[in-house]
Amino acid sequence: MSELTHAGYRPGAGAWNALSARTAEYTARSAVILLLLLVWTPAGSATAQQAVTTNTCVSCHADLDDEDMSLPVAEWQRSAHRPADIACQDCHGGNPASMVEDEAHDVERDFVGLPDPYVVHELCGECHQVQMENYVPSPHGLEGDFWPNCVDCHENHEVVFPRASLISIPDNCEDCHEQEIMDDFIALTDRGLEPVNEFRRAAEEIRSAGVPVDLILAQASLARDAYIQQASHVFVLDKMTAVVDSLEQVYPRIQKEVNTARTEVDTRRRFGWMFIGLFLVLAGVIWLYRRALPED
Amino acid sequence: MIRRLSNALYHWLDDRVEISIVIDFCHRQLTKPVPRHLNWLFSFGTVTLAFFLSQAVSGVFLMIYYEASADTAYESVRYIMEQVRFGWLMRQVHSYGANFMIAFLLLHSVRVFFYGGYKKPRELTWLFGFALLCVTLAFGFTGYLLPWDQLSYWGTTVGTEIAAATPVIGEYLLILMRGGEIISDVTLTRFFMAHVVLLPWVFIGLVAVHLVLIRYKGISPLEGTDVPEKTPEELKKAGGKPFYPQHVMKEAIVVLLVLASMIFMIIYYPLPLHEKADPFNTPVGVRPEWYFLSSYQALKYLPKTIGIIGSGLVVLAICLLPFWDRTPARRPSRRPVATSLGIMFIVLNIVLALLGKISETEMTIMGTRYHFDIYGWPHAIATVEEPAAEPDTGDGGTE
Repeated sequence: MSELTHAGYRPGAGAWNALSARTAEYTARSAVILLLLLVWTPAGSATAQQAVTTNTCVSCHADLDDEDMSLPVAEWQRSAHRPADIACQDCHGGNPASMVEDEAHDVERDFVGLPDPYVVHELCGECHQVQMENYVPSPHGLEGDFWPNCVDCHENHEVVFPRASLISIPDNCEDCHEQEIMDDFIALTDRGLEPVNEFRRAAEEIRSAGVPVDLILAQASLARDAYIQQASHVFVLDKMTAVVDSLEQVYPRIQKEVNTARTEVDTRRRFGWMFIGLFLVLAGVIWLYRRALPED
Repeated sequence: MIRRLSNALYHWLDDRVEISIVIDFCHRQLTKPVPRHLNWLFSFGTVTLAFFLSQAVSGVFLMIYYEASADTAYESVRYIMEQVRFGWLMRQVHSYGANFMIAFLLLHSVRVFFYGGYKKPRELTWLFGFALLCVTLAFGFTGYLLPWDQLSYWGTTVGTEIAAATPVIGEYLLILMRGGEIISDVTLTRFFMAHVVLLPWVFIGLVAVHLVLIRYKGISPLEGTDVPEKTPEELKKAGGKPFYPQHVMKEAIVVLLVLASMIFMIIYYPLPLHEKADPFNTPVGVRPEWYFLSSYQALKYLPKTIGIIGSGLVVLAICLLPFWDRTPARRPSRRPVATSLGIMFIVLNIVLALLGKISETEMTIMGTRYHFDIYGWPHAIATVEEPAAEPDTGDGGTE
């Protein structure tokens, strides 16, 4: 028999009926409260999902048998443009809301199957304005050749952030440039931007520990913007070198901020280890005490 | 001196409110012997309770600075993490604590299942325990939205959409949870109210009944339900140890070790706060928290209505387990069918959760890049010849 006493509570029929009646009353009240909650629901909530349009280019082309027509969809889905909501119609025109082919490919809605290579930089430049302004007067854009153009380095559908590996692709660069020049160019790009990328990576890692990194990120962004505006797409080594040299004057200051933030993370870790040690010692003491207890 | 003072205080209180009755009652309960078979696995329930207390304490601290508004919730959490002294610790303890609490509650349920602890005469203990599991999951679900970052916003969108697929009442359920058609300010305040007012009181009530039932009926023996259960005296003769100090100390050791491992996770793998919620920008691969991942993944393979009804039936079957599994045996070895089914169910859930975790992601395996579709099936998309993760050269910005 359990020692937890419950003597004295023997609900008879009367008590049970009273309890049932009260339960019914509470159920009714709960229903009214639920109804009120539904009534209180604001009527005019905006439906954000409605703003996300369905792209029929993607839904139709993804299922086409012709790989030349369907592959771009898969490539675009892996691109940097997709998360930025830059879709087919932004470069090819047309009507991405229509399921009817003729309407989707309507030339009156600026549909172009294959954009003219001589205007590709203008298309990209609608968003990437600074890069276009640097590119047009650069050796690559001079005399109206526009070669290589944006998609030669950044791909057309699987638009990616340019990487050192792209710069050294033989088909892209080495037809005109010697390997030595390419090596200098890559080294300069690394010198200019690798520290910025490193600061950003460090800042994101430190931020997850709850240490403020806004100053580091702001300084890294300023450095990156300076590179983009003055060196990116200029394609003249002397100009780029001057920009990178000036940026390298700033980097030690940002590094100092990173080091300070890292010290804070280390302090927190030491603090955490103090607690871990305390818990382990306590657990050990209890374990020893428990072992020392008499058998009965 | 101290003993004299405490004796004086005891008698002073006893003369006025008969505190000796409570003390005697507690003493009887604490010294009541528990069966010999109580091993370390029997500490999981207490670990869960310890995490509830930790959640309550850290939650109160967080509430001092948290603002439940779509405009300021994210900023207030960031403020807590970056500006408030030890705010980072409180937020991490609360976030990790939620995960640990659910994990140990699931482990506790699994332990009770395999030891047949739900069987007669402990059906009510199981029912209240099941209700506690539901409330704890509701805690996790409502608390997940509160930081108002991209992950929490879209995770909650997916979660509430699952509820919306419930036949007949789905649409009303969705409106009731969201307070409108989309996740908005109204949803946030509802979830906040449920998380800090409604659910804690329900939890406290349920846990009180659960504990009373455990003390009332005692710990489940290993013998079948057809064998009369031992009285405390018989338990003591059979080698049973008093609940205090032997078992309480065992539980304290487990609680301390688990707390130490949580602190380790906090300092080396802190849970990040992602970008602020953006209703117009759906991130790729949205998925709910790990404890809903298996049911979320299962629903992908089945027609919506069948999936929801099927999941509901599985949940109902688990809830009513003591009423349809009426076999007397309790030892796992004497219940091969139930044990096998239990193991299969656990493995199935782990596999589904893993598929849910890798679905809509890309991974390089043995030099080949694979895309895992929404079902978790791999599709080779490229052969990788060089490291994919090179730093960008900074030209991705739009000016």
